[in-house]
Amino acid sequence: MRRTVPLVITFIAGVAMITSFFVYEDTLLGQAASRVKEWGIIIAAFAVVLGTGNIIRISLHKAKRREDRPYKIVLLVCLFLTMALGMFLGIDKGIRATMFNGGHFEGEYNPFYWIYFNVQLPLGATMFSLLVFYITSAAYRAFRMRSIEAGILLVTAVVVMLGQVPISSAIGADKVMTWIMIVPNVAAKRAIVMGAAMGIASMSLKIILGIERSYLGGDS
Amino acid sequence: MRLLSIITIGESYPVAKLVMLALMLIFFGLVLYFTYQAKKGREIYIRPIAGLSAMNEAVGRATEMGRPVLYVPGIADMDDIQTIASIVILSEVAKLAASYDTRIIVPTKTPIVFPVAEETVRNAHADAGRPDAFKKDDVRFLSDDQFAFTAGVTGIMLREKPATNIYMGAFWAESLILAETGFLAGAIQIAGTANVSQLPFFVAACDYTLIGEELYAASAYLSKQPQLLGSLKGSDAAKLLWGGIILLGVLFATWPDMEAKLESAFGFRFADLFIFN
Amino acid sequence: MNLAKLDRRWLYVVMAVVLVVPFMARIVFPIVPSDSARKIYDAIEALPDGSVILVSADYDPGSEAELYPMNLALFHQLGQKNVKMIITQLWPQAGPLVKDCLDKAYLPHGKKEGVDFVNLGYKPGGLILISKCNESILKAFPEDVNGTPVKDIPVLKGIESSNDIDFFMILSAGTPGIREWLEQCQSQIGKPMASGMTAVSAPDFFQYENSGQLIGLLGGLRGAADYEALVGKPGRGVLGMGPQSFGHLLIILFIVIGNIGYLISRQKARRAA
Repeated sequence: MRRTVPLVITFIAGVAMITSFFVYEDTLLGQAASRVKEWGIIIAAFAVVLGTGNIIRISLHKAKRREDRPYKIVLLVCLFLTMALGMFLGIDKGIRATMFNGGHFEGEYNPFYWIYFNVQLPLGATMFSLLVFYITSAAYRAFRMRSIEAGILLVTAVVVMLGQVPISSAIGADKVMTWIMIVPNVAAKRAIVMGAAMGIASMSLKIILGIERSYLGGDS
Repeated sequence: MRLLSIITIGESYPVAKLVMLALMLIFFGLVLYFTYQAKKGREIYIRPIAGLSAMNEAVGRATEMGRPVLYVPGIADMDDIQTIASIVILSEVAKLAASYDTRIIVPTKTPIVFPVAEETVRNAHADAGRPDAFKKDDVRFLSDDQFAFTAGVTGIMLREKPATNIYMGAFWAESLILAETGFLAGAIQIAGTANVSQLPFFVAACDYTLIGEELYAASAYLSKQPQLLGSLKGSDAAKLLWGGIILLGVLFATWPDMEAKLESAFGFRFADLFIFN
Repeated sequence: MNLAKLDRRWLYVVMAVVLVVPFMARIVFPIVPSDSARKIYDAIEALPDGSVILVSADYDPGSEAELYPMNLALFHQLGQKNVKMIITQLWPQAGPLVKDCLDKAYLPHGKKEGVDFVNLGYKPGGLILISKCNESILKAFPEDVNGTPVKDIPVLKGIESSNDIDFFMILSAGTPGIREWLEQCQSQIGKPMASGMTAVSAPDFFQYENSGQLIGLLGGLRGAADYEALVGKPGRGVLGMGPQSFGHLLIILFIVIGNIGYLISRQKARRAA
């Protein structure tokens, strides 16, 4: 039962969504598929709540077991604080909050907005920025002329990087870069994407038909 | 509302959708046919994939060095096909690790993948006859944030020093951070993703990389289950068909007269068969 | 000193200096916009008065450095035009960034919310949501970001679904993003679509520009700089070209140094053998 019900739901939902692509919207099947899409949006919203609930549950569990306790406490405090600020004071630059007694509260300064632009934004941008250093060391180490193929990779990488620099237009590197991007790159990417799409279609068919069941946990 | 009418084929119905339906049915038919053939015992050949052939060697290396295997199942949620493919591969790798009595650490990014991964590794240990070797704490949910998760995984790499890092699934910007840190920690690395934009980073920093469809083929390759092998063969057969159609399209696009001739003979152009709007 | 095995920390330090110095010194290069950026700009400029454009901001703080300048430049351009704008977000963290762009670049042109534009806000669902918009925007987004029922918003009068939108501009940092918009929207309804994306994703989408499914694409900070130059509002994109250019040249230099070191050590090994 534990495995049969999800398999049946998967089969029905999968067949419905595939079929909906081919039928007119005003048929029974089309309307059913349209309704399933709305349910999908609602379920996706619940998944956010489920994910947050899971984070809280796991963090509390780990904090009780004294595993990374300080970090888990910081996580939970920040989570609840940010949530409370956003829910009660809004997410705009200024505050336009409705009080419980029906009154209104307005202010120019919103702590939630401050947290987003002064904590979240710089932290996210910083982590992304680390990539420049990793790319530097990876490029230094990986682009070595060990073989003809490696040499082609090396020359292509250099030309493409040069082409991104504004002054490259003086030496025509931007035109070579554009050609590399729209001819050999597109050809290779198309092939990979088509192959991956075949893999996705095949995997999806196996999941819909219940041949592939590992996503339910455990063996197939 | 048309209750009984499912499809009405008229002038307004795009021919391209009919063509797509036909191709889809052919594709499904081929997959199911070869799956059936494989179940009946027909021998299915798959070309060697270096990254997957190296899996045994990689886990063996970890066993010899007395260090764990790190398996990262991507950062997408369970609704991503790549994550499902990754969990299938995890099952095989965990079985292998359990049979060699090697620890396998599995950090997960989403709370929904975490219990699936935990149960997969637990069952893999049981299947390998080593249920006692399963450590619950080795399957960990780190964080729901992309880079917080990355920081957690790199921390594991630098503290626990796994001998083998396996990255299978959907990866985005964190791919290079993981692969480069793993390289600096001295691990042998096998990666596989269908996110084409991340492949160059894995190719540059990992020892073996599975490209695109090879990730989906990995489940069949490792498990050798007949139905999985058969479905792989079926999708390969379909690819031959698509290749033929693409060649036809190239011919029609290259010789403009051919499209005009087709239109005068049959009333439609080759391109009309594949464009919805 | 083995040129093939330089300590990576030296590489990091030099890279940090090479990025910071041009930024502080405000070194700016002349920008020659790419053909792709020009096609997007011209396509938007050619939109007649009263057209409807959908801008989907599908990015977050991590990709803000590349996509926010594009967003800003785009809103500057749209602020000067008499077109209706519908804004959506498929990523939850894009909301405040989009509002910031509106405040800085769009509203100063005298635009009014509800009359000239509507911000439908963030909704989960990704490609299901996009597919739903093909049927009915009202059902996909019953309310805007302020909680106003969509059916009561003047700018959306007569706009039932994605079929009623004249142009799509997708600012995408990953999934869900431009790939889902192309699969679920552009391929189904065939309306003009363009995209701004992170530099790492751009090579994946040239194929769509090549096939005509995308009018053009802006890739990374260079794309942002191109668009700022076209709109005539140089900002962080143009300013970032200095550090980016020097950074690229430095990586090329490191590659050359690494190869020189590699060739020398290979020669030595051959001689020793």
